[in-house]
Amino acid sequence: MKSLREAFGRRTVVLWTCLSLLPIQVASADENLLQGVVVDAASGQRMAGANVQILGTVLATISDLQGEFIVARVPPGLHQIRISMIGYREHLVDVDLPHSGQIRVALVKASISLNPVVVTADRRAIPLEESSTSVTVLGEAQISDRTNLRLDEALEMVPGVYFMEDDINIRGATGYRANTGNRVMLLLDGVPLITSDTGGISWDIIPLHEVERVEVVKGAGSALWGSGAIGGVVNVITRRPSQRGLLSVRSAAGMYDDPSESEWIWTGRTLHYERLDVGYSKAYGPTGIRIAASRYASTGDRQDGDFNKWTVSGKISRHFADASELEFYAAWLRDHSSVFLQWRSPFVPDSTDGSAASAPAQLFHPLLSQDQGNVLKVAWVNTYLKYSRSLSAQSHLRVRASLLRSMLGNQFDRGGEFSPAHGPGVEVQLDWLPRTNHFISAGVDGKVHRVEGRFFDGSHTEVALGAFVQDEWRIRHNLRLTAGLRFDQHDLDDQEAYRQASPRLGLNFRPTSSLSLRASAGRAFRVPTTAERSMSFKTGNFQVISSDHLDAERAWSYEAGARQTLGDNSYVDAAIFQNDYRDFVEPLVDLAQTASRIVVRFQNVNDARIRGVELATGTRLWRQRLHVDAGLTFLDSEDLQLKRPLAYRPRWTLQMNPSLHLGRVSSRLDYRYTSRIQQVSVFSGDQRVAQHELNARAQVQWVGLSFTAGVNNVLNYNYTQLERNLGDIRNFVIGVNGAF
Amino acid sequence: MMMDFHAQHIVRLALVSLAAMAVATCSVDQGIEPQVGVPAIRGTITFEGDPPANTHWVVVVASRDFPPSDVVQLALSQSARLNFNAGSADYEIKVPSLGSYAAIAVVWKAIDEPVIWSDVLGLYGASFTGGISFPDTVHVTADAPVVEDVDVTADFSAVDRGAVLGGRITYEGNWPDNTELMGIAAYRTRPENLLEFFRPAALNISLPTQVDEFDYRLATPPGTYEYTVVLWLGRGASVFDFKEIGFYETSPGSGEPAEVTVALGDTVADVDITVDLGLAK
Repeated sequence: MKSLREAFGRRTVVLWTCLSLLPIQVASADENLLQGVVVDAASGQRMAGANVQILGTVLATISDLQGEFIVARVPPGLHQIRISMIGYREHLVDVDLPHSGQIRVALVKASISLNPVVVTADRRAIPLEESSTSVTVLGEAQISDRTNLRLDEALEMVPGVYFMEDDINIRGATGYRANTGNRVMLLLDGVPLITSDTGGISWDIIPLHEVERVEVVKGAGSALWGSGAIGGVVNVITRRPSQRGLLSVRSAAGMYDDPSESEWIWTGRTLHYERLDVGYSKAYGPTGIRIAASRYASTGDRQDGDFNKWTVSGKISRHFADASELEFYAAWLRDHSSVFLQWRSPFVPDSTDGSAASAPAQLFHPLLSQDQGNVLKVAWVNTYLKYSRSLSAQSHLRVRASLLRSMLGNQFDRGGEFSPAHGPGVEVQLDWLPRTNHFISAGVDGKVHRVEGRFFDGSHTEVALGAFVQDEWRIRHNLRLTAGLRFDQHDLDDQEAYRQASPRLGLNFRPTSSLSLRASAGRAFRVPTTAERSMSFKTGNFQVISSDHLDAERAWSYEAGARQTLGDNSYVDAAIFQNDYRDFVEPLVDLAQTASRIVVRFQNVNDARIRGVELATGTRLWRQRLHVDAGLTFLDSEDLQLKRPLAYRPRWTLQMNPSLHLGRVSSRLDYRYTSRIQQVSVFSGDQRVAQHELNARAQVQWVGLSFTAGVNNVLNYNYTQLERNLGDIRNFVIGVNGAF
Repeated sequence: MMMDFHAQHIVRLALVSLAAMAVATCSVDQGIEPQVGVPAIRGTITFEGDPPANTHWVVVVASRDFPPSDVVQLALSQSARLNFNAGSADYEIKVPSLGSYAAIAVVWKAIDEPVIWSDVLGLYGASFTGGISFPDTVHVTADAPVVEDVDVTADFSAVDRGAVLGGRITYEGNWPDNTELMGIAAYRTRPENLLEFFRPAALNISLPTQVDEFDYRLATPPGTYEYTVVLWLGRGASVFDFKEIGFYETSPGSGEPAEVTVALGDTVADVDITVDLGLAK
């Protein structure tokens, strides 16, 4: 048994020890409670979920369902309180404790979310306009208004974000990796939600109608979040338990149209999908609970496109008299999905050709007959326990423990064999204000990845340790410099350890109240996952073999951007960025072993560069009845050795989202354009087209319920994101949401 | 404030215009459309010579380019295995997409050995005697999705490797970090073009890497070889990027290729080669 020092090195242990001994000011007895209530200025209705920050301290909270908030340990004297909420103008109020008593804050609606609070970019709550990196926030309305069935459908409308199947790309970082080694870190309430075996993401385990907001941080995030955040961070923030009993129901059902071409009709059955989410939330004194369950099932629009998914999740939170908070969350997912690797052929047999008629050739049948009926079975358990406490007005402590257990199995060869992967982790973070113009966040985290199974050539253990520190220096009232450094060490089986230092520097300058300039540079890395190193299986004419040794990917990321708000109704955001990658890990065809079967293994390939420009804008017209949001991204990606574009990176993406709001009735169009993919990995000879996707929605509010009807892929446009996999054909959806 | 007001109107106008354009322009195009008729290439293979005893299978493959750069496409553009014991065999390749196929090749595979490009028995339209000619291109179009009479002569003597060349490869310099493959090839004449380069008489691309020296054995057809060369390929590179980093010389450092002759059933064991790893870039 190795000692901690032997396992992780002397320097790491010293660093951990130093961080744990950072000075903490102990709360004094004469500190006070700040109590208040947040209401809508127009209606007087109390508002839940408003961010309340006491400026010049680390103290902050969120209003409960009754709109009330309490902050403990506030030092006596004058304080400025900032109250903010998505969809409302930020409000500043001065209080004098202990004389102010309970305060009442009336927030005025803003027609557009110009400056929401974000927590992911700097590991603490700051206004968006003070961030030194590009961040996009999706609010609850933007998620629920579209009858999205999964969170990734909502994320597709974020400028700079696109998906290749389940793989999320922020500014082209990931490409297509079959959910193996994502380059984007997915967090749920700040806790990593990445599997220990494949480094994959399941969008299904996220309880969609429990999501309060989503923050998308673009650019390298390793300086704060470690390995895996090389291409950005997505943080999904779920709601807190409600104060009063609240039953929420969200349902949607849809039906697929026929394919656009009569030659492609492959079944007389009605193809459909449905999703039902039910949740209940209530507070019992200082203890709040929230439970939710969902079922999402579909026949799919192709043979072997069907799936059945169940999710159950729950959250318990408890506030203590000293303003500390304990939160426990658990979620379980069961996913049985049929497997459709690729279509059989794009060619339709000519009825006059007798020999061809014996070979059915359609886009909606899988290539290999032996794949038919194979079901991929996935079972996940995700849980975390978080504790936070303000030690004083100048210091705040957060501790969390988490466990993600994922089981992956299929029936390609034999049924019922599962490969469990366990990822227990811990994290401690301390926020500290040594001076009024310095905000220091420091912490340590550790995670153990245990993977076993026949897909991975036996058992594997990876121990990941990280320590980070970041100082936000407010040089002037409108100028912030952020400097951070993180050190990571990953010990894998008997291999030499991966070690990485990830520095980051960020600058935010606000020359006027409506203009925010930002710039940042940072180093990032990603340690190859167990799947990339050790996965080994074969199916049909594909075989994946393990790799002898893979180095960690490394990147330098640079960005500069500006955000200009134009009155209360419009904004423009522009950014230029460049990411320089070294030792990119990509699945490549093994030339020496490919013969009648395509043999693939992960390899460190070439250095790569992705640079581009991103524009985002939004406006509200006609007394805020007409909303138009748009995003445009240009990507220039290059494999620097082969002098060609990286695979699966479109050069242009455009999102355009006009919506009309007339009292209780609203309608919206979501248009998305993705230029033809320049480079693919496998079937380069196949026909490829640009992607036009137009979705339409109409919504009516009636007796507390929201009824939605819509059409996805209105044009019934045929495209492939991934070779030989047609995108969803036109489908019609209806939905009902309500809370009682 | 006034600037904000004007800018706000410009943004609004631009967005409304863009939204209208987007909706108007995506009206009729349906994207990918069905292609009628299953494209195929058909013909007859005429075999010459006797199949070697270690023959595993023989297939016909269609390549979009020549020399082939897309191994995946090759793996998916194959005929069924041919009956190579008959004097001739008909074949059909259901090609994955319409377009031009620059080479139709008869490929031989040895038992327990991977297929490499020296294992080609014949190429449609290509000639290796009496002047080199490149293979003929076959065009598979929507109007003519099935192309008939693509006949090829396959010569088993090209792979009847009853002799052995052997020797020691000595590596000088440092191994590049991005080394993917090392190979050794024997040519009857020094290749002067891509067609000749991709048709060695014998080839092994599974040499060990990160070693100071290695004693190799290369099975070849009997005959005389003017050029025996060591090949290097970098990680992520295509087959076009093979580098020649050392060859069998008349004397070490002479720069002159040495000739070697080997008879059926014999082994020539002193074909030693010194390799300069500095050329592997």
